Amino acid sequence: MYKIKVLGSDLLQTTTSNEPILNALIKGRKEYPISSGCKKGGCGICKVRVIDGSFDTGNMSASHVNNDLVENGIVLACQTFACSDLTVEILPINKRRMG
Amino acid sequence: MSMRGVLRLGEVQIRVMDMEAAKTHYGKWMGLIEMHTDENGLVYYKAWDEKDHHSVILRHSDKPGLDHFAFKVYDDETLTKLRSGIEKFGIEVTEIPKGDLYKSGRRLKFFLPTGQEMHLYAEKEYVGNTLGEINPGVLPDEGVIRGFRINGLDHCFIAGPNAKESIRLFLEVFEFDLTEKVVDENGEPRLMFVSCSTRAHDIAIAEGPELGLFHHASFRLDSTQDHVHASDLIGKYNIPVEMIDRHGVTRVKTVYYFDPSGNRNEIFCDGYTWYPDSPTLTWTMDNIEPAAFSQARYVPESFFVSMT
Repeated sequence: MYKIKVLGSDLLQTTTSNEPILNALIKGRKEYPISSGCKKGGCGICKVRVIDGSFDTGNMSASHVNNDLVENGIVLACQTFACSDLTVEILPINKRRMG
Repeated sequence: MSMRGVLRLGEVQIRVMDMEAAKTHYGKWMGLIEMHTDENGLVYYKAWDEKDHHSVILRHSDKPGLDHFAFKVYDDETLTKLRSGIEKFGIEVTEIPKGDLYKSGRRLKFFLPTGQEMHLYAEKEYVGNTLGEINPGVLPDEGVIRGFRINGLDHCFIAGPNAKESIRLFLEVFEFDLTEKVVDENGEPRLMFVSCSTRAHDIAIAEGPELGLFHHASFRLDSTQDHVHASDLIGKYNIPVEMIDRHGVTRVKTVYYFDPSGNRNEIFCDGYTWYPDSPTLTWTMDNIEPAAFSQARYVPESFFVSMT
């Protein structure tokens, strides 16, 4: 079991290495602006920056992240799995708003 | 029957990041029939009641989205006429020779002002729906209708800049009708729904911030019972659901869910019958909740943002 601290919030979420960190982060969505969309690494709506800690990732769309970004901790929360306690920053929702 | 121009959405080619997961999703779970895998790894599917060889193509990629969509037209003469119309509209057209695309006759290929690659074609190999053409009966053998019990590919929803220009092409050149629109506070249309048939829409186009955005591909079900059955399977297979509700726009009963690469799919049933003498229906952005989802009167944040 690992702890996730969200920058700017006092809430601590808990996660395991077997579930995407989005599942834990979403529990605090009234405290900070995390969004969830496709949950499959495709839409980019749950982009976060891991500031501290180690993690693994699954399939993520090249439209939203690349290797350089991942090395700098920028990932999609729905495809990111904690390997230690993490500190994350919720990034602004992408601008792909229609209408 | 006067429908002798552009007939229907006949094909979408969708990018997927995990082909095996995608085949499970579109084949085993949704129940589309796998028809072929070509030398480039493209996988071809049809729904049971479609008569042409395929309607959905999956291509492996590092990002999801829509490679192209294609409408079938009545005959080759229509194709020739439409080429002239598209070029007069100001859009460059290239021809894909017969046979270059699997089982397909010649095609017109061009890019919409909203950035999507669109094709028109008149011929694709006829394979039928297993019932035959003489005394066909009504029900195919066990196992032909399966999974979500999808009858066919129905429409797609795309977005990008210049949505009004893309819609103008459909109205002025392809002779679609504007069935419904959602307008902003200045009366400017932001989401538009157009039909070439008696359905409430055959394609929808929204104003969006980037070229070539794909909102969803939609599949038609026969009945409310099949809608409930498909929804139960979506739950059984733990497929991420965005919304189950009824649209105000088009009045269809809908489920939105995502494929394993984050492409949005829709299944729907019901809706009204459109005739060319029907008035265009207008919804206003300040009434967007019931326009989008009339039962919950709530729009998930992802619905207007999450596109591939």
